[in-house]
Amino acid sequence: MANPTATVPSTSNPFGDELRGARTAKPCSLVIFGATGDLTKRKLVPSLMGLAKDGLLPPAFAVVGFARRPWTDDGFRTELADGVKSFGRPDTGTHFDALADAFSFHQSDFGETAGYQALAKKLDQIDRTRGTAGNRIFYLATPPSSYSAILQNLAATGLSTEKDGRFARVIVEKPFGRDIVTARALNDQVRAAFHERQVFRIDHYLGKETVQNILALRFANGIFEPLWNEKFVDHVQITVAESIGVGSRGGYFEESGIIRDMIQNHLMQVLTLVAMEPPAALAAEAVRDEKVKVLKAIRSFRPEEVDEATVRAQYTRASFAGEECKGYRDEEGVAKDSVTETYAAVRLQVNTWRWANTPFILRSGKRLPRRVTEVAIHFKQPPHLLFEGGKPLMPNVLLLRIQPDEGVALRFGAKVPGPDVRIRDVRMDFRYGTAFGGETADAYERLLLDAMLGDGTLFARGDEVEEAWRIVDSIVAGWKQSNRRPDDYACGTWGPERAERLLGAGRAWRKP
Amino acid sequence: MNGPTLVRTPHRQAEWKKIPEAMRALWRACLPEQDGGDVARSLTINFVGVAPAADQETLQWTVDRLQRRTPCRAFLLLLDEEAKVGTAELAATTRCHGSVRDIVLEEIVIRLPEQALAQMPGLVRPLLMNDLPNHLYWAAAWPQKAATFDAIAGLCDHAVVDSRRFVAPARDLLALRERRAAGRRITDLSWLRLRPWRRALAEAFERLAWATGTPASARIRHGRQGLAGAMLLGEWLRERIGARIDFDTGGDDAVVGPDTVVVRTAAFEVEIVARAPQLRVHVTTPEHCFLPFAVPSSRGTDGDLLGAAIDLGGSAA
Repeated sequence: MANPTATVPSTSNPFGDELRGARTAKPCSLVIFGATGDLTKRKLVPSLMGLAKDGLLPPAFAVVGFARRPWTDDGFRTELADGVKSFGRPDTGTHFDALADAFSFHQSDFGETAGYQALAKKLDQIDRTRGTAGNRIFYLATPPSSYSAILQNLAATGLSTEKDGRFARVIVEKPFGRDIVTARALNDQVRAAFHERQVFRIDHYLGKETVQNILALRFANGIFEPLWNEKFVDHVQITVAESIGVGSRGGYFEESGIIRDMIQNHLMQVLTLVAMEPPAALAAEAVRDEKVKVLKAIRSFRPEEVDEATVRAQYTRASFAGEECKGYRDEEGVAKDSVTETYAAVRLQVNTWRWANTPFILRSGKRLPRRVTEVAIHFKQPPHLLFEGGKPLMPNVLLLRIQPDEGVALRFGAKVPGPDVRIRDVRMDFRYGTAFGGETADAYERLLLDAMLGDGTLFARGDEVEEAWRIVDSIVAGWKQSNRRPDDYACGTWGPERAERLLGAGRAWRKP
Repeated sequence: MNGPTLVRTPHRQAEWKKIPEAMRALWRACLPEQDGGDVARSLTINFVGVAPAADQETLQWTVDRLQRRTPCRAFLLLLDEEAKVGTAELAATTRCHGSVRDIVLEEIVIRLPEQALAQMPGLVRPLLMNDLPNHLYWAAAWPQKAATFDAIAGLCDHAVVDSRRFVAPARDLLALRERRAAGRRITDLSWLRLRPWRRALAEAFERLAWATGTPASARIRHGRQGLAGAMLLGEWLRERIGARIDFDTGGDDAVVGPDTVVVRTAAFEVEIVARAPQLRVHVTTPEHCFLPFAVPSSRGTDGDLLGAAIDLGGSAA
């Protein structure tokens, strides 16, 4: 049999339009470092099978699991089959059965160069037997402490090098550092092995349909964008709330806190999509350039400003949802005198022509009443109040619900039927689940496909990550200098009282 | 947290002229039992389905599948020469998720002989929800009187047909083409079913150098259910690469669409064979025998395809 990678480039495929519309990726191998971990079983492989079900996997495709444990190919496949069955979309099990022989396991220590040399040979062999054409994607699904060794070895063995039209890409899981210094160091390590265009920093929030819908809502509709500025928007609230506590992750959480765990990445990403200027094109660099401009327009806090512009707090023991919940400082792995925040609210100002004087208020917390992620655009009052004796009405709110009950709602005032002129809030509601049905692809499906296609639009760029850390670092530095301990809030409440003052007069937090 | 559940009301009968009252009774039936509950209607299209009464179960299964992505008010017109006209059966399906309840399917089933279809526009038009797009799904053979199709299609912005059901595909596909040429938006599910074949051919030709004008031939093998699909694929190959087409009727009768396609020129051969759930593609040139590759052979059930057709809104062929 001849070399299958020796394809003849065609510039005149008479059926080429069939491929263009379908976002079909080129043949490739995916190497997952840390393949014995939960992420591979619960997310990555079930998502790959979702792509297979939708016909979106490349026709020639292979997965190599790379890990320290002494697993066999068969053991690896059995574990993955179980994962697809438990965590995959319905009917994806048959696709795994059909593709099972495309999965293999490679045992090696992450720091052992010989393991990478053997991996290179294995990938060459896969290219010959499965037609994967020398294209490789490396997925770092390991703790960040292993990144350095993996990246150095990929570079040392030439696996990160692109040549002869073959691509080599790396997908990096968050956290991207724990402050700007470590983020820069990580970026330097990544860039020593890969060019920025080869790097895909994954934040699964950006793969959610409803997050992408922020761009669609803003730029595919004529009615919203004219109002999307400081003339009409009073303020913006972005909330990521969780009802669970830190559970068994107390030790990890002590080192990060909610600001590093959620605000630096998920909330900042959502903020940039809400606040960015229209990009020149829906292309990776154009979108990411605009997102970075938003972050650059937020200046770092001076230490003395932090107490006034932020609130941090810890949950305390309380009865919540029918059970007695521990306070944060009673959780396993948490110091009794911990000052790590489980709730943070931050008032940011995007210093641009569009957003001057319109605060963006971000909050995230654990043990809040319910799990919800939303963006609430609060509009200004009408200039002249005709109704109800001129007293202020509830402001119009455009609500972008990211999870659960994904959708968009608009709150506005309507006349209550009857002889009196009274105004009551009503809501126009669009829900993804009802308009498009319940089964939507997992965020990882979209992001894995984009990485195969080389489309970085929904991935964080190095400078974006560093800018977000610059802002967060200035807050953390202010907290460190402050004498104020974190406030308390009871489990099952929407945070500490002091958070109300953050909004300013006449404004109130939503209780979603 | 558990996912949403679907709750369906029992069918209730109503005379045609009393359908609006019967629908109001249905909405009341969808309200939760506890005080203060509410129910919303989340319908995104009006849907008119036409099928032989013998296919009622299939049509209803398809509509159930459709409403998962496209909540609708559905008029199911079941062709039954024995049917007595004048009554309809109504039911509704509510999606319940926590305290949220949405009516996602309002179903009005009407049995009637084919000649009574002419009465349907007058009955259905006032019952269409306003400001929603109207889609017809003609899941029956092409009618003996084409005017019947035109009358029902005239209610709708877009028609979906399934030429797999056509008795004489050569003649009936021509009738479809004439209607498209006259501006009617029509999507054929047989064409959507060919998407994996078209993709497989496109992938195969990525490996080849193709020069316009190269003499080419294609052999398309199909079974009894595959004639219309084979003809559409043949027509497409003729248009794109000027291939001479041979049809081989000795294929698998259970396969909806072609079961094997071979495209040949002096310089290469592409063979695609249906082996559910995949199409296996073999590409051979005098110099290379490429490794076979596979693409999924199906993009889902008829309900999924119907949903895709409705999303396309008639922009597809």
